[in-house]
Amino acid sequence: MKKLNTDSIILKFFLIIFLLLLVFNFFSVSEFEQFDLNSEERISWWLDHYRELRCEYGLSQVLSSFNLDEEIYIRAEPSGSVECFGKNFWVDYSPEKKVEDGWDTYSASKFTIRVSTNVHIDLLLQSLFFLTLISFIPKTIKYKFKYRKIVIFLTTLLYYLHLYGERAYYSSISRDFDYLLIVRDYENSISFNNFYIYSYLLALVIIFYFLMGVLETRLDNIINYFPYIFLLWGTYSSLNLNFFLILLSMIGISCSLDKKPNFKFLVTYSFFAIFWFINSNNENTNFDVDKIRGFVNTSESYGSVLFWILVFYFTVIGFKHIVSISKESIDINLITKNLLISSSLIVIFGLLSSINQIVNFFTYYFFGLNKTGMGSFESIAGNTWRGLAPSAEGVGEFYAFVVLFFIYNFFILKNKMNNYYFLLLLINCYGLFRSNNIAALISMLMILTLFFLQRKITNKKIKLFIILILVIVFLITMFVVFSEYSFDFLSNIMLFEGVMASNIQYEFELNQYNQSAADQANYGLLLELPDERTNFSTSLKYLINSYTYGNKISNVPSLLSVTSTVSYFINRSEKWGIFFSKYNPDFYELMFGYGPYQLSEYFSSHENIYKDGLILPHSSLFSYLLFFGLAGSIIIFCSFLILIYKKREHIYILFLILFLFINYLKSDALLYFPNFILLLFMLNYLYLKKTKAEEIVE
Amino acid sequence: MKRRIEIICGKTDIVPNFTEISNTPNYVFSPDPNFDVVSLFDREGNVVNLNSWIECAYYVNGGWTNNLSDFVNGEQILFFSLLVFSSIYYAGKNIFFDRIFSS
Repeated sequence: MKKLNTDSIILKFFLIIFLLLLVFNFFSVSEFEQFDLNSEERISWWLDHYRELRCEYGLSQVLSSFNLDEEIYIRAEPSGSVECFGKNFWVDYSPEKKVEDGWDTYSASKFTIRVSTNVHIDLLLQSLFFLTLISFIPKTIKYKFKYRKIVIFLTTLLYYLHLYGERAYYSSISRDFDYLLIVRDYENSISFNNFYIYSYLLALVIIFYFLMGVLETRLDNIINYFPYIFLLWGTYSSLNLNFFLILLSMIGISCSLDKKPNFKFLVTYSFFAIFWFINSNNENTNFDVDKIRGFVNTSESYGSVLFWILVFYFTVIGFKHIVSISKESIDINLITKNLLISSSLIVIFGLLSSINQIVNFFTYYFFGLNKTGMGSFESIAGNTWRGLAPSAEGVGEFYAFVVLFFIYNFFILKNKMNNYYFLLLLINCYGLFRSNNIAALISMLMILTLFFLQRKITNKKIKLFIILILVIVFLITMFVVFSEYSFDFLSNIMLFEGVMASNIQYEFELNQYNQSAADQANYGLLLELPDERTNFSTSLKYLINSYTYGNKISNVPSLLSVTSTVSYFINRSEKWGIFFSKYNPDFYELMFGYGPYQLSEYFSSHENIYKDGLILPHSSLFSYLLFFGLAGSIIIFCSFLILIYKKREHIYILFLILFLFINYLKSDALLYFPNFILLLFMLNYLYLKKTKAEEIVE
Repeated sequence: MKRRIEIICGKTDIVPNFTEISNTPNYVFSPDPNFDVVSLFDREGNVVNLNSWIECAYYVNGGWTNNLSDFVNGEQILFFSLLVFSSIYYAGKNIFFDRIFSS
């Protein structure tokens, strides 16, 4: 490890990239002359050749085998075997098609090349890459991991539980998958030939061993480099795991053995855990987690539920432990610089990967992205451009946060910064502009105003007066906007979307405009229909009932009406309506949730009209309602409030956290590992800050 | 092997006795009309069509397969490579490295 930390970081970086490309057979030369794919017949011949000779050619050989100016997409295929890693798995060709609703517009013809990847090789290769990058972090004081061997053993056991729990997912991508350590054959003979599991476990032990070695001398400095997880997501290409989740859970296990736990947290969490475990269906399902891979459960089995309960606990306490031992070494200036470098690199690599498909594939693989970067420079629906990130919304929030953090560091803390970082800030702002996250932009401006008021205006009366004027301007604007819509429309638009998304099996009589009772939002009638015909979820039925027959105070809009109105203006009425049409908890599930990062039951327990695709709740609050229930969410929310109240002196940090809260309310950010870590960092950073009273006592 | 048989031939309650089949000269597999014919190949590229579960299981047990990558056990190679690498690293670190520095 010592040797890794020499001065020639760039040289080592390129060396490791070269070695990794070598594993992909990237420099192999094709033995054939280039095919001129100028006719359908020749294309068909080329496709047959590479389909039949699967696992024969490296990526560069396939790419150099044809001469055609067409769109090419390179995608990883996780079901490859060890010996086929990095070789051709499948090739596809889609001829040009008329664009739906297009007058005379045709989509370009494209080739898709699927490259074999493999669970074991990905685990080793991607870990090697991330370990090498961690080794570039400067060394500081040596941290001693007590119970080293026990930690390695327990962490390996935990990740064995993962493989066992999510066996439906792993067996779907590998025909050699078997979780048993000892296999019993037909003649009752015992054999030790399940090398799938042996190599998985051995690879884990090796990774944990080296991870501890790398972290030992950097653990209190690693926090300053956390912004890079927005660039290097750390998700394994073919596993439902994230490298940094492994890292934090390992540290969590280590500090659980080493230190006294927080009993209040442990007891409350255990109480919830017992419920989650009992409530689980124990069904060995394989839920397609798509772009949130690596940080969500794919199954409903006991093993997988237990794994996510444990891994969430260890990740949270692991991160808290890192922050607490980094108390002295947290360098806000360095974090700001790293935030700016990271966000700029996201933009730059995003642009590069949209220009070149080879860069697109390798950034996906080596950065551990949840989804391949955008293949085009053009914005997609909603005029958003997400670049490398799986969600334009999530990355937009990050860009806006970087701007705020920069201002906090430069103007509030008065830390000096090189001109070079201002250039990076411009690149970051370009990313924010392309992500087209208006909510992030508006909330950023709002927080900036609060920064300004807090900083520049010391007189409380003037401050109050300005805030009052701003509120009045806001209310007048709202009044102007609202006057275009009826209150009736705004207050039930979310429920209407929910009804529209429900799988209603009832033959309605249509009116003269061909509208049914559902189209007319005739909730009174809908509530009288039998449950099996309306197929309303329990949550939607409760909300409709409350909207129709609930107690109302005259001239005061209900919470439901306010939520519905807000949802319309932040473009969430449809998504939240879909959420309620799907969310079907019983009383206990409503109170305690399904368990951390357990979305599978929510998706499978109740059908609506959206049967395919991953439609997320589009609100981290709703996501946490699913995971921790009403009781859990209230406990989390109250803990936040207590923390905020205790640390109210650190008003600027509170503003930054407020920015995250506002945005997380309308986005799925907490389902993405980096955004979750960002919130954890801010809360832990606030927790560490001493109040004036504490300082005096010290 | 049991798992591979189940993947290729399907699951069944039949408990095959491969030794008995091997030891019986001129053993005749009776075709099962309910069994979907399975085609297998060996390393030399010979192809065989199998008409019953027991026949399929017997051939799979004998090394025939329907998947090219079954001829190489990549995980086994990987496991032993990792084992050799870790042993060399461990020996190098604890024996040679420590001795050099202690001397």
